[in-house]
Amino acid sequence: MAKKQKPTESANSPRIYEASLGRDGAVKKGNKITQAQAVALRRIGKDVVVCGPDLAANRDLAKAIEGNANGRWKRCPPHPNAGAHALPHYQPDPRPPDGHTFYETPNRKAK
Amino acid sequence: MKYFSAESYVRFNENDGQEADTAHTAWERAILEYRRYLKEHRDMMPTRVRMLAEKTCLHDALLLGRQMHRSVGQNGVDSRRLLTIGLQLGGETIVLNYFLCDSPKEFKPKKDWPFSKDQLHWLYDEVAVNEDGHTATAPPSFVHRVLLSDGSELEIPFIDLILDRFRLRTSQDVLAVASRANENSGRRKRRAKSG
Repeated sequence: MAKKQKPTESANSPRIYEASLGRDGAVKKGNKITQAQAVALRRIGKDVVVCGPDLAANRDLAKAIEGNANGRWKRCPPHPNAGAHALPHYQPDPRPPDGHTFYETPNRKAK
Repeated sequence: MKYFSAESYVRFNENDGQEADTAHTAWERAILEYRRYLKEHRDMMPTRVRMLAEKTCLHDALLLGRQMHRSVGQNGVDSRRLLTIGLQLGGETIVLNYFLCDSPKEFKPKKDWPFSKDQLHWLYDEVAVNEDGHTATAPPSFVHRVLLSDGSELEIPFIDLILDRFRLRTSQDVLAVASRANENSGRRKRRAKSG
C-alpha cells in the first residue's frame, strides 16, 4: 500500500517571515513563521513579510494575515522616496496597532 | 496630485486580482515618471527642496497640526508668510516650515473615499517646480502636493523650506538617564570613601 504523501510546499508558494525595517525603507527578513504566528505578531504591532515570486499569491496571503489580525485594512504602495527595497504593505485602517504586513513583488524583494 | 493621486491610491486597493495588478503596474510606472521629472528639474531646486523631493519619506506620519504665520509690513500688506506642519513619525517629531509664495489650497476628499478619516496621517507627496514667472533674475518657486489619509489633498506653493527633526524622549529614555546618573553617583561615593 502506498504511503500517504505529506503535502509539500511548492517553490512558488508564498512564505512568511518576521520582519524589521532597515535603512532606506528596506524590509529585512527574520525567522520563518506560520500564518497563525504572523497573525499573532500583527496583533501586537510587529512587522511580518510575505515572500515569493507570485505577486497575487503574496498579496492575497498578506491580506488574509492583516484581515485576521486587525480587521479593517488598507493596502499601501511604496512611497517614491522609500528606496528600492521598500515593499507594498497592508496596515490597519485606522491604526493602532503599529506595524505592517509587507509583501514582495517581482521587482521588490525583502533583504 | 499628478503622479500619486487619491484615485490611483484607491485603485491600488482594488480587491479584484487583475485590477489590483494593473494598479500595481501603474503605480510603479508613476514612480519612474516622477523620478525622471525630478532628475530633469533638480538643477532648479535648492538643496533643501531637493532633499524634500528626493530623499524625504513621510509616509504614515501622524499629522499633529498646521498653522499659518503672517508678518505684516509697514504698508499693511503681508510681507512674509510661513506655514508650519507638525508630524510624528516613529520616535521623531518633524516640523516642516514652508516660506510661502502664495496661499496654500486644500481640496476636500470625495464623498465615496473608502478609508477611515480618523488618525489623520500623511500618505504620499510630490514636489513640482512652478516654472511660470521663472526668469534669470527671479528664482523658481515650488509646489508641494500632499495626499492625506482622509482623502484630502494639500497644495503648498513655496520658495524654500526648513525641515526640523526632534527625537522624542520616551519614559524608557528618561529611566536610562536616571539609572546612569545613579551609577555615577554611587561610583563617586565609593571613590570618595576609599580615597
